[in-house]
Amino acid sequence: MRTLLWVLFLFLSLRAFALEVPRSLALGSSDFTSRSLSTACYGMEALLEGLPCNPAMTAKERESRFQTQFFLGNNISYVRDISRLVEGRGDVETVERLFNQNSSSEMEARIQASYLRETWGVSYSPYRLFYYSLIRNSALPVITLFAGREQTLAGQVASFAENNFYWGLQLRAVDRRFLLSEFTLTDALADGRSQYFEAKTQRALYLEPGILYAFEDRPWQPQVGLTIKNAGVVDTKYNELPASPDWHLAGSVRPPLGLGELELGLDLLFNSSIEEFRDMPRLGMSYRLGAMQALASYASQDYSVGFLLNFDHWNGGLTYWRKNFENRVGEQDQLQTVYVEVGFIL
Amino acid sequence: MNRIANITLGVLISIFLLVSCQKEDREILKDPLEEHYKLIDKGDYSLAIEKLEELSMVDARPQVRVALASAYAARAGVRVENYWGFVVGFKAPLMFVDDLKMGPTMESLQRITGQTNGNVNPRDLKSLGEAVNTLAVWDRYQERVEAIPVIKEPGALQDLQRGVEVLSTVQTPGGRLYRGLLNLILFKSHLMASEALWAGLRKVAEQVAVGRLEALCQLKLEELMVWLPLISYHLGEALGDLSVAFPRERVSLEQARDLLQRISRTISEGAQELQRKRICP
Repeated sequence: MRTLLWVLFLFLSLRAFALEVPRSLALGSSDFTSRSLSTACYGMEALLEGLPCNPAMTAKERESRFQTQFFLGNNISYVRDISRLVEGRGDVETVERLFNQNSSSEMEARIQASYLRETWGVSYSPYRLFYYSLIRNSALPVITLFAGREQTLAGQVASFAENNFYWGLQLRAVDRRFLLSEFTLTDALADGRSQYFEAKTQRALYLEPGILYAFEDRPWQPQVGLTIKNAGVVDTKYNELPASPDWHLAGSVRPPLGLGELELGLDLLFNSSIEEFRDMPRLGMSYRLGAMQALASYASQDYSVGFLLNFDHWNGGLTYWRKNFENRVGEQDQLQTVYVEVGFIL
Repeated sequence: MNRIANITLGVLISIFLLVSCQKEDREILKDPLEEHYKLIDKGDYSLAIEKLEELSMVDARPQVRVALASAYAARAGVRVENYWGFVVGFKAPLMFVDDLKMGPTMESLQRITGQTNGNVNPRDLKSLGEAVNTLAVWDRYQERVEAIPVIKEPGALQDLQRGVEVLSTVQTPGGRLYRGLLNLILFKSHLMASEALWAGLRKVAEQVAVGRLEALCQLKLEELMVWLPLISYHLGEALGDLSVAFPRERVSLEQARDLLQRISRTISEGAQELQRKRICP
């Protein structure tokens, strides 16, 4: 019996336990498009920014355009409170405020420029800043911090094959520099705390193919496609950063309307983090009327509503995103975030 | 030609996907501690303790022991909002002689040395000087010490004591800083639990300071003999913990702990001497 306990002891002690960070934040797929249309964008014609989600869409006939955007998600006050706690500053009210909020916090900002024309496109994002923190255990706060900076260069090529069939390929290079650690409040105050704030780096190269079949002669113009996202190689593997690809089986329809353009999209997402069937389907909606584009998405755990305004060469958008999750006391809770994007198109 | 290009591209993509979609080298698990943190945050401390005790039998990570100690502390009523005022801007409580500020304790002790007019054994005078320095630290950090919570219920004190025991084998600086904090809470709680004894001791010290040595007979020596080692023990343990939490200050902290032990021993021996010689009626 004692031997069995020792074996179990050694077995558990040698296993790797990973910190949990949001997959979308870790892999950089939490941009304005993803927050507004969810992953349904993989099957949709609507293009809000940069390059299409499914690279095969690049082969579709469209005007060439150069676009720049600035994207920002909120929760700044929570981030400031966490920073004060980690630095050993702040007062009792800071601590109480943090523990009154039972959820994690996410913040991100990104600048991107892209050029897209028929059959090919490129985009470059010199800065994507992200911050995620989670605090729990009111007896001795345990803090998870994931913050960093990312540069991304992506290129897409696509072509029409035959019989309404398109293919495309995206090559994406990412340079990440980030901090990822978990520590207690006393770890952050004692000697040796610098080990929790050491920056890590990762360089990744992703090859992301996509195919699309469009029934263009039908009145609702249905289309269906498959995209493989985050399939690539990295120079350094981290247990906490997802390395497995996402498979998107996505499609859309565009019912003809007398006024405006409506598009409804559906994506079935397959990846290693999907645990239940209900987490696979995601719906997206885009309705464009003149300079205004209304956006919405729905999935089992989150939904969003937003809009995008195009005026002259400028555009600006706002999306309200709401996510259901189990909070730190094990109750169902909701995280609300507002995302803003501004940019111009030439 | 186009067909060949497509086939070549397809083969390249397939090879790339095969390489990139390989299974992870190691199996990554969700940390079981997350569920236990939830129990603590829900206020289900007893269940958290039960589960963490079980986990600590099979999981040797220091985080497990720290979480278990925190569950005991939470059940004793010690949560972050109770001790935040103490840890905020925390630094090892070290000071240099030049930094000493005059406080009531120091003043009374210095009066004693003034009244002795040099008729004191130099060794005793040195000990007294060390005691002055030690108590000056207490005076200087009085505001911070007041932010340390006091636990009164015997069950809660037992929980805190168990938390301290759980952390005794943890060698991480953060874990030992937490243990030091729990030891300081125990120290202050025991100090305040015998408030009458503490007040009596201070009163006697004041009278001795003005030359009324017979006031020593007012001390409840038997209670003092039990109480003093207890508070000295927790303060000594706290200093030991701080020396692990702040290794760069280890020498000074260990010197402070040795000094504390010497003072405690001197007072105990003095009390024994008073009892043995039956000076008091």
